[in-house]
Amino acid sequence: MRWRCMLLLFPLLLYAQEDVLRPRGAPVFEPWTEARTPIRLGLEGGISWNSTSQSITYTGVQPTPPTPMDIFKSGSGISPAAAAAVDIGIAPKLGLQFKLGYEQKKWSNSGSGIADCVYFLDIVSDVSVQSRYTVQANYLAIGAALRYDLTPQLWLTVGPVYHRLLGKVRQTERYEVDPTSDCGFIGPDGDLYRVLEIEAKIGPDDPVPTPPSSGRFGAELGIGYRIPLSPGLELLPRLSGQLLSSPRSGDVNTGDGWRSLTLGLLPVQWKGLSLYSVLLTVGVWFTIQ
Amino acid sequence: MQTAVVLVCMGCAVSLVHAQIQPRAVGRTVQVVPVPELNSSADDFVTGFARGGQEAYLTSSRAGDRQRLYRLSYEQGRWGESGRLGGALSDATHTGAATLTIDGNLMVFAAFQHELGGQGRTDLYIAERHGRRWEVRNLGPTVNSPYWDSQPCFSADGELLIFASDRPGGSGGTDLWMSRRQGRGWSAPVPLSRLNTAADEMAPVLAPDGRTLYFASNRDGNFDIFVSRMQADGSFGRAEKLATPVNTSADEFFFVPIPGEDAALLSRTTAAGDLDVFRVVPNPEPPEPVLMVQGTVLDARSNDPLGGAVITITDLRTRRKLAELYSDEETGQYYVALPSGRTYSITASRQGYLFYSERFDVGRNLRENPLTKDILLTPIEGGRTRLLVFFDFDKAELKEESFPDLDRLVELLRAYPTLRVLIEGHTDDVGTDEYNDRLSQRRADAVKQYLVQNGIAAQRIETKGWGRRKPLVRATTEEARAQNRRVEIQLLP
Repeated sequence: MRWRCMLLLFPLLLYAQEDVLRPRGAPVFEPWTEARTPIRLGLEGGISWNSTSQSITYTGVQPTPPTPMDIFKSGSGISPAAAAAVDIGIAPKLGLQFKLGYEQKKWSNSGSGIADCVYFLDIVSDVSVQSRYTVQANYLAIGAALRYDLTPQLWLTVGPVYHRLLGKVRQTERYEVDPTSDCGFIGPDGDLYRVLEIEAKIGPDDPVPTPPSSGRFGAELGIGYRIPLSPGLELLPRLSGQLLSSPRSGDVNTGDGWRSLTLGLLPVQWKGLSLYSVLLTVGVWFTIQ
Repeated sequence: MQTAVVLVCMGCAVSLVHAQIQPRAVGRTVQVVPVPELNSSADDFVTGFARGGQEAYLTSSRAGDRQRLYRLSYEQGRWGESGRLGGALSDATHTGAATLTIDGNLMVFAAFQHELGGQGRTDLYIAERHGRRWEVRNLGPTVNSPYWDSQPCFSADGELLIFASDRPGGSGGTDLWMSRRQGRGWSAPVPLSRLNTAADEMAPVLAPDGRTLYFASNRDGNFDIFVSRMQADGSFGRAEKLATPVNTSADEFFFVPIPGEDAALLSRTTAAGDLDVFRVVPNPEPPEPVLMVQGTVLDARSNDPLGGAVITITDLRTRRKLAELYSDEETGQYYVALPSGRTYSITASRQGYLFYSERFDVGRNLRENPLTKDILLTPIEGGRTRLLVFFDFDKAELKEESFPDLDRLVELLRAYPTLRVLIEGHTDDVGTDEYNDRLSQRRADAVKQYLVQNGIAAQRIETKGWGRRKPLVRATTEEARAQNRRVEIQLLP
């Protein structure tokens, strides 16, 4: 009896989708071939998970870590992304995709470091400073990719991508001195403040030593899965990895003044800022007959 | 003058070129319009008609994802409500693509994972109608294979079965295969090699003429409708693709001529991706005209419908029995499709009744179509009927066309050995009484001689020549005279 059940199950598993009209079953999707579906349009939306890193190198005296500046070594964050895309089948399993989209890259980091605090003009002690920064940049994303269908549902894309900066990069910094201490930042009005907040908006053309890059080139590798909703309409979750050139036009030479009372202004170089992103989007794709 | 000749010839050449490109588009505006009464948001396709075109069989997956069979009434261009066929006709994951004989009493359909089991994947099943009940069985390993066997189509008489299969031995993809009836079984299918290609061929539909085959093939990319006509040797000729607007960039399947109309149905993929039924008017590739004969077999005495009567169609010229159908068990109705240009006999017989035969000359011009013809059968005891026998003018020698009916009489007398028979000859009103009496007597005697030669004892047979004294119709028209020239038999206890 068991054998009989297994034998019955075997063809069921093999040909579960066939019917009286189609020996290979109802098409769950339309094949993306040039002949049958020359063009598809997609609208995608989702999130971009961003990660940055750079090295911070002191060219002279090394401060005893940690310093409030350490947070700038890395950062991460989530921001929105959206795109309109077109897919043109060029051969069975192969297609060209072009997309035009908006991607916001936002990252931040927080931590604590030690700064010098002066009492009664000549007594210097350490004080803990909580620091946090956020960078937000908006890009027009232009991409081209070669699509290859691994299976009828699952495909890979790989191709170049270019990000054009829209507007200026917004950067905020916030520093808060340990509230149990008597230290603070002296404001323009001469008062003492425990919290210091700085906001800057810098564009590629602003007269700063290292402005943000106006554009970034790179590559994008994606994997997508097609979920048919109805004939001619599909839901398409896609996971893409982006590796692009630095969002900054160069390295930053600056000074670390958090220990200026004891060590002086320490020359420091911020070098090799990189920004990686992983995009998780869900698209709705329409077949154009 | 020379210039004029050249111009005329050029005109001919141009028209010929156009004729080769679109020979059937000239002068005919073919319209293809959806049939909303049949369509849903799921797949819908009509695969055949039955009951002389009064019933259509639709396959649809409108109720869930499963394909199911639906029967719809169709009368005078109007669609009635559809009813889903249940019981053994739906005991499967998918059932559909039904084809029926013209009388609607025999169906072959395809089913995937039918509870009755099968030879493998999708198989063909045959269903016999008994009143409102269908008796279903698998067509068996002679026809079915472990592969995908589907989309059957009958000839109107149920003698020929064509279906699609992806079994090995074809030309690749799905192919068309043909099987012929052999008694209660079927011959081993053979591929229609002249029609099959390495691409897919499927959705065969045989028109009621039994010669014109429509099918779908994706040999040029998407599925289009092709037509092929049966040759004199029984093979199918070269397939021709139907022109636009029948074929489009969408997929077209199941081009089904509507019996008795210059129109057809086809199923086409829509922008939404499902199959919908469309009506094609006029049919750009019409089949040979067919006379649809329908009627009811009745008890001549009580006028009650007689179900289960055997209706035999015989080509009187070739004496070949073309089909054997049955009157409906409940209503006694029968339906027959007779291709034009031939002469037939339709004979109804039933256990306990005397058979009855009618001659049909089906010309090319079918003025009354469908033709309604009720058949009255008389009980054996004391039964009387007209024999379908033929003589040359002024002769008493039986013509060959007479033999099928005479053979039936021989069989009847063998089956009822105690019965005796009175053979009565009749003439029309042309000629003298003496002459007609002699002629009618000689003709009755010729019938008796045939029976005796076939083993019926002479003492069981009486003959009488009535001449022109007992006309069926008292008129002098040629039609009336034809009816009055006859040989009748009366069974005597």
